Amino acid sequence: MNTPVKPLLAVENLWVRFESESNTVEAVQGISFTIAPGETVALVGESGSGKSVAAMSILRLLPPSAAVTAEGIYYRGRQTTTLTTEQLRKFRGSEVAMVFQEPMTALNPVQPIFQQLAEAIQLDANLDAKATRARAVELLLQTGIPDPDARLDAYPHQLSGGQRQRVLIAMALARHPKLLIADEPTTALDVTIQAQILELLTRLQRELNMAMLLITHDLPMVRKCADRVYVMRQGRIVESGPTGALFATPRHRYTQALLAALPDPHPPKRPMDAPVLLTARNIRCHFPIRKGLFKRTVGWVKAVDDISLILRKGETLGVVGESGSGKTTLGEALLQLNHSQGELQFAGLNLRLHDRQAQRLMRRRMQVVFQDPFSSLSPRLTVAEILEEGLQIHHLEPDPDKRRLLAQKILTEVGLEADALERYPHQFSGGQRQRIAIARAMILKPELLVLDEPTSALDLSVQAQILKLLKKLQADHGLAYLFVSHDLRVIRAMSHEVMVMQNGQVVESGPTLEIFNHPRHPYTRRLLSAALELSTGGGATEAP
Amino acid sequence: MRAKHCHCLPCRKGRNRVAYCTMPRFLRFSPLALRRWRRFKTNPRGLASLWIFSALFLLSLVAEVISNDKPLVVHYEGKLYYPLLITYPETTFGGEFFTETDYKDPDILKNLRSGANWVVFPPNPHGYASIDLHATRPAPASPGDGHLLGTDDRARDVLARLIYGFRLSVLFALALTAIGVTVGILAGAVQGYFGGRVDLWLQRFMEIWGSMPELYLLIIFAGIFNPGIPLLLILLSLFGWMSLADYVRAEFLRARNMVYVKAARAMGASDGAIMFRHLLPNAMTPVITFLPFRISSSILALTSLDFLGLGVPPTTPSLGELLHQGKGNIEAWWLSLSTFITLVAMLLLLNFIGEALRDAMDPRKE
Repeated sequence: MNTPVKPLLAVENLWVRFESESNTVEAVQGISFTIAPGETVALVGESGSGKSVAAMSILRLLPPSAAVTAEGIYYRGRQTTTLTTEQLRKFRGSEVAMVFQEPMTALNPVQPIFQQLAEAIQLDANLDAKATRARAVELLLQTGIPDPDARLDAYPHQLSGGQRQRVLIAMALARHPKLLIADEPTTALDVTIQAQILELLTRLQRELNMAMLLITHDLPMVRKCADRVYVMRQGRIVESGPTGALFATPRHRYTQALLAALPDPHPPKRPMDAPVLLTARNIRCHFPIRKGLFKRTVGWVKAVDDISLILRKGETLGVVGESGSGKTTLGEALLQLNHSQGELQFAGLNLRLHDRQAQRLMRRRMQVVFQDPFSSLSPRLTVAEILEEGLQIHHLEPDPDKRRLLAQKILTEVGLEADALERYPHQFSGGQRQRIAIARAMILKPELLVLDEPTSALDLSVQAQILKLLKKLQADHGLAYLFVSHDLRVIRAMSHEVMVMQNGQVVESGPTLEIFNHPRHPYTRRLLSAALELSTGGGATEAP
Repeated sequence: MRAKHCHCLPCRKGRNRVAYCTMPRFLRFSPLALRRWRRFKTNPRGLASLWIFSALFLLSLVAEVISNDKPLVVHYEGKLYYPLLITYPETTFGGEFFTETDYKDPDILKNLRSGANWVVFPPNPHGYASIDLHATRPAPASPGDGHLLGTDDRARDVLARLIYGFRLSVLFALALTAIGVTVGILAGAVQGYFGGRVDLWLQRFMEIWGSMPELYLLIIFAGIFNPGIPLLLILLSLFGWMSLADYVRAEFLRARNMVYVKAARAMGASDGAIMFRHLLPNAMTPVITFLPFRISSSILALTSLDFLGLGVPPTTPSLGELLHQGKGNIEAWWLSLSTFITLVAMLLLLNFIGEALRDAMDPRKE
């Protein structure tokens, strides 16, 4: 594709600097890239690598605190850095359009989508009301929304995440842009929807002969639809080239690491006849829907509906499902963090019979690690205080000096330096914070760890490190994991058994290999094909 | 990895590595608090106001040494006496009565200053309640005759009453603020943390409570009881906590759904531990931001009540009572003018501090 065609967009030596009271961040440090007409170019990198900032500076959408300098941003050979505000306004949307990551916040919640679409359409051509509506319907049809005429009067919250993203794409297309910038267009969506949106984008691009700048951290997605790739790291482009060549023979060490960080496609070996640790029978978690003046209960949301499971010592049970399938609620029900019904037995003890005091003591043996390491650590406590709190609550170590030593020991075990103890969570990166969260759970020497999407908020390479740490901890301490995730690749790398959830119910469960190689339920098949089509390997194979 | 250096008060320049700092934990500030303090210091007006106000307040705490009708030291017939600390009968200094010495009595003074005897009075030799019995002009008298700011309508020294009145106002305001903040935090924390029905009922209670006519209640109670500082403190506290409770409640409501609260519950932490260890430190921003403004409004409240005659008894030094006298004796400009300047300066300083604090705590700058 990158024949010597005149590029549609050429960015030369772009620098972006953010200055604040306390420090200066060089977000983008002299990058150059080109996009040919009709070409899909991917800008790949981990969070903080400056890829979004670089894309935003093309349309000058950055806040005033950002200092942007560039030798040139040429659009069809025309310099765009010198455009006046008025010219810039015309340039945005009609020449270059943008699709954002979060479709909920990118749409105005108090307007029906027709109004929002009409705004874009009327900027393009002066149409009367009827023609505008017709054009809006046409746009929605193009993006594959069923029954577009009725959908036009819906408000954003009445649409699903995928549909909202389609509306956003329709808005971007309204003015016939030549270049579409898609900033993590699928990150906020479920796997099956991700595949659909991706397909839509590639189809539209082909039909309309648009160029696309795809900004993402998702390597399999890049491999599937990009023609050329630029790999960014810490504000610089470290490697670029045609997709096939780059994935086959990555030259830069960082690219190699990034590709190697994809989770292991082989599930772990299951331990031999381990004793049963946790038995849950008919767990139900129903939330009432109350309506009307007197808040009568008119129905129930069955977040978890009649689920039974057995977890053995040293074993990992992977719970997989799309958002809203109830997998997190199930984890919380097992930890008794919400109101649920059903039998719960932990190491031979009936958890339901015990009073609050005994329940609190049981909590030591069942710990949890949450998804977002930025919100799961108390921001005003030091790491030492966070780690020692559990010891204090459970009176495990009355001597403060010994407590400090224990905290230090656990910190080294999760791979952090001992002088991290006196610092606060915000001074750490996401991966380090997740290590602290794991240390907080591990210091109590639990037997069961509920891992609620422990790697979803992390970058790919960090994710690989955390998974490695979790595997090591499991091997060292014989921990049982309940691993909740929407990421099938991670589930496959971690679990001995897999449970697939949909709408609060288990649709299929069994050993990992069997589920991945011979899915029986149609939902599992759909999930697997959506996720693994994007991934490197095909089905799973037994670990060597 | 950065900020490996300790920032506790004794080694706040960051000389020691954190791991080697032996200072107790409470002396160590969080980096956030340090950053806010640094931001506060960039506001020269606020910083200067803080120093001036603190200095004035500390000075007023030793008002007895600055303004008193008893001497600090007396040297009488080869012996030293400390009338400020010990009560001596008049007979000690050659008087006739066994009652406490009146050091302003010309006869006694003559004794104290004769021969090798000497006496050291405080800079302003008048107490807040001492009536100048030896005044040559009718009260209220304009500045002069040893009264820097003149006397009030009972021939008491205005400067002395201002100094003691300032101290009383600030102490009263601090106490009122402390009570209001404590109750407000507790009420807000309970509402925000437990939410649901507890929140609903407490909110309704606060609405009813808040719609009670505060001023009339004060007038009624001032009629029933003998008003004094304790009663005023109680009455004003009854209503003073509500504005803060709303803010704390909002912060708790926001924070209680954070994952770290869930993590603490999963760890087995009790409700109290979660509320005060995990949530409260995150809810302190509005509390601290409002402190100076609350103090200044408490001072104003006391002053207005005194001005209306509903406050402290007339013997107590009070700015409001001085203003009231100023109103009664409109020609005695030194009464109202000096009190007015004192009040304005005090409130202005507090507002400047508050402004700087508000900017320093601005979450948009973090």
